[in-house]
Amino acid sequence: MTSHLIILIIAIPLLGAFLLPLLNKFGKRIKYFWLATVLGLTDIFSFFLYLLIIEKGEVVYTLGAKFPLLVSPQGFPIRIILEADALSGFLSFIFLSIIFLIFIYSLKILSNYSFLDKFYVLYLLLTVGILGFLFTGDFFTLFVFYEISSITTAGLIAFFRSEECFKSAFHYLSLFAVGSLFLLFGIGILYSEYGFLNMGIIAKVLQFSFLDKVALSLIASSLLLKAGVFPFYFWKPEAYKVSPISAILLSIISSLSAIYILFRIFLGVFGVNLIFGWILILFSIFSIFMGIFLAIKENNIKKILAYLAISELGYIILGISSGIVMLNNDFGFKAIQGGLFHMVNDILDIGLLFLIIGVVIYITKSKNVLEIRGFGHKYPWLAGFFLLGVFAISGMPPLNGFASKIIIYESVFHLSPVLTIIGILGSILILAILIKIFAIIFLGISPEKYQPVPKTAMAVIFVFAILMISIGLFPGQFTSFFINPAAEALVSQQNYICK
Amino acid sequence: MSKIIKIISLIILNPIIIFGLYVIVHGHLTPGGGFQGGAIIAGATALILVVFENNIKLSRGLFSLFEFLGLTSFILMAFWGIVKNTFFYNFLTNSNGILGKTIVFGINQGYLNSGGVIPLMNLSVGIEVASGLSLIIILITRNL
Repeated sequence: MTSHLIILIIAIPLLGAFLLPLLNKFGKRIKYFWLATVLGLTDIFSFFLYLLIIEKGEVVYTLGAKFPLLVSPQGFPIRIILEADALSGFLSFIFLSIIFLIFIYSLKILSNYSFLDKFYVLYLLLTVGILGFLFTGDFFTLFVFYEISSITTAGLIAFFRSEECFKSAFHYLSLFAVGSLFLLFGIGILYSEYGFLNMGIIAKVLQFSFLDKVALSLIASSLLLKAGVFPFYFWKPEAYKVSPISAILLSIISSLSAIYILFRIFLGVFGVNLIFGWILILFSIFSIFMGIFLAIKENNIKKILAYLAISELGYIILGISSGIVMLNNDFGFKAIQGGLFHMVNDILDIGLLFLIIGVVIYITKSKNVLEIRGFGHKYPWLAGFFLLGVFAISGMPPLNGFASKIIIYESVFHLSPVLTIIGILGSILILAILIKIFAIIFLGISPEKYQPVPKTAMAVIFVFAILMISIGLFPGQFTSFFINPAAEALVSQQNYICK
Repeated sequence: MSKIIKIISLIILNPIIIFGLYVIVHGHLTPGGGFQGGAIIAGATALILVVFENNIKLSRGLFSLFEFLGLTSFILMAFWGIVKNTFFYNFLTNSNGILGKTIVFGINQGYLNSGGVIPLMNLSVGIEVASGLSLIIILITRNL
């Protein structure tokens, strides 16, 4: 049973998505029970997978046969291969937990809309796409899951079915049609050159010729498009402006998984390359600043948070790529740790802000949230949690954002002090923007009276806040259990590739 | 449309569907397979909708049911592989039973009774694609 854990994590949401139209006939309760079972079960399985990896090392799974007969000269089976090491196991556990929480959050928030059955089918399929990104061991499977996550995200963007939504979804879909072709072209170059699709084999036979560099840039550009950082950030505010909050959070998670697979391919298949690392550092600085400066002039709350999400992704890429550039000394490893730690904190922090804004939109039913005043008088808890999220995302000491950002600042300082200064400046500007929003929405006097907050949504917000505070108070324990094995797995590629 | 077109298209309808089924069933032997054959069958739906315009009501529920059946049978076959060996394990091949003829290495004329679960998976993909594309065509023409 334990040997099948990795495929069950991908296959159970797939089965859940396909059976959902049938269960929809039996009523709401059974449907939600089924969804909770599927998501909860995969979450538990991913935790067991992580424990298995910590105990026994990396897990490799070949689809179709346990002991394949057809083997390449390098000793790799010619099959669809799934691989999981400490990094992907850890990320799958964190992401699945948050996906489960988002499902509970959207139970009440989205209950008034039609086409919910289709929404949850797409929700499960996007989960499958994210997990495929994490566990894939060959390039073609990566392409398939890229397509799955692109198409399902487009469907989720169009959920509210207004004209603007359809426009935005079509925009997204045409953009990612081009992006997936870039990915396919890059994979095609590698395949025509070496005749293999498996990442492990390509890593062994790669010569890093000019053509390989072209392939790397094509693959990296399509994955940066999926992540939505600096050169390709433009789809993000347009898509987030119209989509429901749960879809936004899933989209952030799929961005994080794209960053994961980008660095996996960059470090694992192509090896350390300083020029490419510096290009990524440059992109990350640009995305930190672009996100913040575009957020300043914006007046739509979802767009502002979308821009801030871009700048937070910039911090992650800054940490990991500067770690790769200075991998020969100790600070490189620390920087990679900081970047991976910030992946978790990013989804928690920006997620909390999005969840609270979602509750505000649900309660007030207003088109423009920034016209609301005095929300904090009626809902002091929401105001407090929002302030908590603001402090966490801008890196205030007792919270989780500080714990990861301080690692990034301190280690990046040894590469160049300018990077640290830019990072701190970015955090201050994020604080300034969000404090302004907090003052607009939650302070002041409100004449209106609204309905109470949905209990499920409040519970999820509470869990997010507890997680943020506890990670902020005990960063050492969290790092030693999750982050250290993950960072070691990313750095020591030999164990991942050559099994 | 005129009567001539209606009658001729009704005559053509059967060969289209049979050709689609042929492509699906021979998916493991010849070029083509579930998706291609399904797309050909969906062409038959498009023909009906174009020729009979508003005079025909195609039931969307039936197509949805078939789409569901195709998808579910595909994924359940893959899951049954876990019981035997691994996910997507071909548990019928070389069993000398149904779809399990053992084939000697080398040139042969192509046995339909081979391939294990691959023809079954082709069939379920074919059902899914035919009904899914038909649904898309029906939804597009409804709003014209």
